Amino acid sequence: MKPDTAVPRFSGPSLEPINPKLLLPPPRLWFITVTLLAALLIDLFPLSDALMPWRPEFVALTLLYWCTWAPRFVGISIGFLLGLVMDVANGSALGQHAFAYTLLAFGADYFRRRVVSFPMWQQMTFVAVLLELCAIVVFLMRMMSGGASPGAPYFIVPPMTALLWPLMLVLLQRQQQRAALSER
Amino acid sequence: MIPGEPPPYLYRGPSILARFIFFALLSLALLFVDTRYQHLEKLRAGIATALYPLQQLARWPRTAAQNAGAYFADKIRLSEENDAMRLQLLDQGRLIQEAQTAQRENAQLKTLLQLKEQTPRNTLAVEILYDTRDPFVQKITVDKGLLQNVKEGSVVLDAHGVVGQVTQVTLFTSEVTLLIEKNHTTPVQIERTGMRSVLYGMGVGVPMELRFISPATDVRVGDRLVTSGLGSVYPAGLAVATVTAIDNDTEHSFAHITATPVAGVISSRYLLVVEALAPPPILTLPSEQPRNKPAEKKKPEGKSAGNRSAP
Repeated sequence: MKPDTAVPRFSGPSLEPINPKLLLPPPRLWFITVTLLAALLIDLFPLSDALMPWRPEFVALTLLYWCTWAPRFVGISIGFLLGLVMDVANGSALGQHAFAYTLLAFGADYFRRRVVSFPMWQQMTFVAVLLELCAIVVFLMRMMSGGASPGAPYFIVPPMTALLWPLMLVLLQRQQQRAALSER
Repeated sequence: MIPGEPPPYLYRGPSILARFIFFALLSLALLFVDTRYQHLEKLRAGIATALYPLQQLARWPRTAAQNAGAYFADKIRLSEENDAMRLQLLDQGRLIQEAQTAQRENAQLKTLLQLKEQTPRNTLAVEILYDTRDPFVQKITVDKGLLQNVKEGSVVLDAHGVVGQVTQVTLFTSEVTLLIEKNHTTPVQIERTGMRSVLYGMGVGVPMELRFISPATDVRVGDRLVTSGLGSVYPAGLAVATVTAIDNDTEHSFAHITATPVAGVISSRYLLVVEALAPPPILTLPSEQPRNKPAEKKKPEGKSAGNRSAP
């Protein structure tokens, strides 16, 4: 190895030490579990028939968040298990959500290093595209196995869910920062 | 060590791509097995039972709101509702008496003709917990399950007619597949003529189809379709649907007949589960009065080869 390649030239933001308050510690396992359970609880909340198809996918969003910010704890296997639970909760064919969430977790994990440095609107676009992609894949699979047509809301909900991404960042990261500060 | 690669002590299991492929294939296999066979019911029931407390918790705010709403419902509306119900009860009491007389006569006639007596079926009132959220299927979940002895295949009714069939039973809840579920079939007959056929569900928002009826058959718009009782899953004579359109295209060998279900699935909150008779109906001896003895149902099946009563 040549000495000048061993130390790559850095062209990013300044290397000045940043405010340690803004650095997030790794999230606690109990916090991840509680947020995932809470998302599941929100998703299970009964709604009227008119509103039901328009329900945002909170579990998918929370999974996406943790796959991006805590890839050590939440990854593809957790996505798969959550998908199984959602399959049973929604009365879908077993494996339908499991496949979607596996794909989701993979996409989130694969792109996470890029996504965290994106500006907010790009992050939201990324989330919307990923969720929509999963929806389309599941749609194609179900159509091939002889399901009924799900209707337009099915394809509109994923980008709608992506609109909640900033809320997710605020809720979960604030909590993490607060926890970090209180420990100091 | 390859430059640029993480050192081995940072190794954390198989690569992300390998894990993705493994779990993707696993879920595809699950999907294949679940849509084609019935082998995964145990797994599903297990997860559903574990999920039950969480579902109850999620349901709690609405239940509380409903209870509070019922408590504070205004008195005038309640008394009006009460009066309407009393009138209805009076009317239905008369109908029941008539029906009982007819039933008695029917039983006597059947005894004379040595026909099979219809066994009474166990019924159970259930409450709708929620619609299943999956947009690809038309199912609802109700609040009674294995503990209340709900059986798979049971028929589910509301005040107007057949709603669907119990397709999945877990410990505390059951899943009811609605009649309109795509490719769900119901053996029916046209009430007016007695013509038998099969009614197919076509998915939500699409009218059901009455198939295998030749264009020459006497069918009219507005004809009521009732269960034929064939296959012994559904009791005979339950209202199912009303014919809405008939397209007698002579190019095809069958008429294209559409129908809408009579049961209002969305409007009713309580449903009735009527136990399905899994074994074929049993011929009872003419001297017996089996209506008072439901225990007689478990008789040896050898006698069922006899003639069945026409529905």
